[in-house]
Amino acid sequence: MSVATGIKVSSEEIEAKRARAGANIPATTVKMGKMVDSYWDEIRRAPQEGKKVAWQVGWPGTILTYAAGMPTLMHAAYAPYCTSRREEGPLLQLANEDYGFLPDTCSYIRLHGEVARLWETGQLEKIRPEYRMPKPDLVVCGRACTEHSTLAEVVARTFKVPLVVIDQHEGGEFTTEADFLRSAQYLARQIKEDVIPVIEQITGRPYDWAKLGEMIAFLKETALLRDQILELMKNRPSPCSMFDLGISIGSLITQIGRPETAAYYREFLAEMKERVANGIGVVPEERYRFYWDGYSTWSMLGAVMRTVAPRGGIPLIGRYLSAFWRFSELLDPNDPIYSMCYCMVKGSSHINQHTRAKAHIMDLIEGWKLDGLIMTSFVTCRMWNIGQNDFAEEAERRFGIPSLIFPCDMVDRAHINFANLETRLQAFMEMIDARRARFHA
Amino acid sequence: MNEALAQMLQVSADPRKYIVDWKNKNNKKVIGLLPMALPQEIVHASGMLPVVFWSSGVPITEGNRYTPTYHCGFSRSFIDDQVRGAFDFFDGMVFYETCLVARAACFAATIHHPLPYHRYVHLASTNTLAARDYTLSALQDFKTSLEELDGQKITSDSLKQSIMVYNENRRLLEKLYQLRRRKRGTLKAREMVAIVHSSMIMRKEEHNELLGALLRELETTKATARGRAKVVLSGHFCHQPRPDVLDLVEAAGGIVVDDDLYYGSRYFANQVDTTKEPLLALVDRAMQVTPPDPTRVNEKGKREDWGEYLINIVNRSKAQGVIHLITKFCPPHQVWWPDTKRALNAAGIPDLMLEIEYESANLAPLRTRFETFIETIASR
Repeated sequence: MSVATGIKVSSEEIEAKRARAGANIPATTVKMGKMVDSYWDEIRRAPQEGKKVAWQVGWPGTILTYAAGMPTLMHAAYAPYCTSRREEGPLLQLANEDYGFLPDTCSYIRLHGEVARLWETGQLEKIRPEYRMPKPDLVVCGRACTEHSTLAEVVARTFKVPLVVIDQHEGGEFTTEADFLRSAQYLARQIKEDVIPVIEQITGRPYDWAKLGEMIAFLKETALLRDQILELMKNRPSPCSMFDLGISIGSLITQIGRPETAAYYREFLAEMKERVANGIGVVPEERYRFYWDGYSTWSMLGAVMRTVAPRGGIPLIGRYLSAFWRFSELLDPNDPIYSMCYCMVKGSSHINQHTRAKAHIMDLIEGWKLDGLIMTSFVTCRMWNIGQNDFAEEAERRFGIPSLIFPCDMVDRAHINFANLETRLQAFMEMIDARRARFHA
Repeated sequence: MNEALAQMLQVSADPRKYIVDWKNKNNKKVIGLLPMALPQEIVHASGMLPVVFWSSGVPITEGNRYTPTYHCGFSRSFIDDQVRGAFDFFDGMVFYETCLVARAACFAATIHHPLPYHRYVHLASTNTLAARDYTLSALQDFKTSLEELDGQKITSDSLKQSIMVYNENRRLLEKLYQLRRRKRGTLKAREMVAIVHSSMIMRKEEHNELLGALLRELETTKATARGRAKVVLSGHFCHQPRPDVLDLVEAAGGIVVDDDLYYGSRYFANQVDTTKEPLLALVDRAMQVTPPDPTRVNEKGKREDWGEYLINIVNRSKAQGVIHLITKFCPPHQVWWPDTKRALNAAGIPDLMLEIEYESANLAPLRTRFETFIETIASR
């Protein structure tokens, strides 16, 4: 196995992961755990190395602060990190009891808010050592939703550190290219006028624009590699699932713009090409190709795969994947800020406002030859819930395929009924079988 | 009952009647605006009637096709009212990102039952130079779209005039609130909310006349409060608190002396600066640093802290406690309530929090909690 990422995994580790997942997950993805571990190690070491630390909420991920030499905790990485290793339960319970959050509050906010509070109230012993991250010197937020900025505010207030927020105009109503351009210019102006000066103030040195350009180049390469993987997933059998790409987003978020992330995706693509050439799929006998709506539900990925994969089911594609650096061909290392903003505006308007999202999803159904839609409806994250019934109706109308909408949560297992989940997924696949028998008899 | 008060209560109870009558009489369009920060003056300056969308209180039926039940009642009832055609007498709808749920609900409404005119206006959530410029641009485009809708130019003078009329309304409402602080019990809590609500519905010139008449009469009355403890009501953004819930507070012995409800002091907070270019002045008000708006970004130092804001309200009204009315599943209020509670308690101010559900039918548990809270703070 190539070691271009610098990470080795043994065949025993690979097989153990595959057994736990109940699927023939790509060997490359087994490396992600170690890559992510190295990311967290880097953050933990930062204070001793005299580095300033940032906490980032939302877009554009860690790239702006990392280019300035600031190890950066990404909220969308810390929550999965805790949840995938079942650390989130005690923290969320504390968030309800100690911080006083209502249990319907966004679980990302509760998690991060409580961690900050435990820090500041001298209760760090309630967090296991490997989950204790350094306090930030700065909090940066790209505000894709109100919860993003409130999460950032809660953290910044608790730690009493500066906060800078990038207001985002999602653009679901945009009709002309001029609309996109104006929104991108607005984003770029905020970054240049409001974010960079604060980063320079915190770090005490001029911003490293050359470094940012270099990172944009690697990010572009990475995202384009990922786009090729998405295309390969149109094959039957698909060489991997959406969850494999979802896990791989780990380094796209945390180690964004780094050569090792590009190397990971090069390896991933090579493995996928090899699988396609040899007709190797991620599930033994592929029978059900699913659209999956919502973020990666970190608390139930394994439960879902273990239910559907042995029956030949794959969560294959979803708009979540499009949330990360779609239209990356627009990225320009020579104009990093503006090109990054334009790329974001084109991508986010595509998936967040549900008219556009519906068109995008129908394209995915057609392009990836999907058999059904599984849509997670998050109880504490209400960003994508409205519209899901529309997607279900449109999919039925246009393609005659059914949908399943499942209330759950991306982090909080208290909002997930696992027995119900298993039953409904099984019934859903049986429903598809019954329809096939009826329509193709 | 005072005739002016009766008229305002009637409008609040049946906004549709007032709006349809106004349309028929004036042959002008009616534009609905989503709470809370859209500048209504721009619509007013066009001669059209700006109305803040309200929650009908009707049980949600059709709307359940489009939104899960774990979204706030306002967003669900809004979609429900729209798709059932209950708002078909409106000629248009304007919305912004009050919160992620409200934004999505409005887009859903524009898809499934569009009014002839609908527009999303991006009011920036932050208060930077870039944000102000972008918001100004959004308001300029909004103004242009209204001109195209109605075929009538909105001049700078007409906008200034509208701002003055709205400022007068704010001044009169502020005066009413000051009177209530001085003469406790002068108005019931439900009446005060209805007065503010009627301001959101009526043409402001008419409402100013009614307010003036009410104030003149109330100045001559004596305080009539018979309760046991003075309380401040907080929260409940976007839609009006249920009158029966407000009645319960008073039935439990609470005297509502102040609030930071949207259907309350938040609606009329801050005059618009008439010395500035009108759209710039409206941007200023939309970016106001106080009252602190949990749906916007409250960068420390740029906007007032909500806890401190409530403490100031309690002190000026000499209240004995705060009752937080959190709309069930309201994300902004959910997040900030723990911090505001801590701030209040650190200042020695007791508080009670209740989550109010849209479909709440059994009020007995609420009564018990109100009574217990009032008893507790009255005995201090």
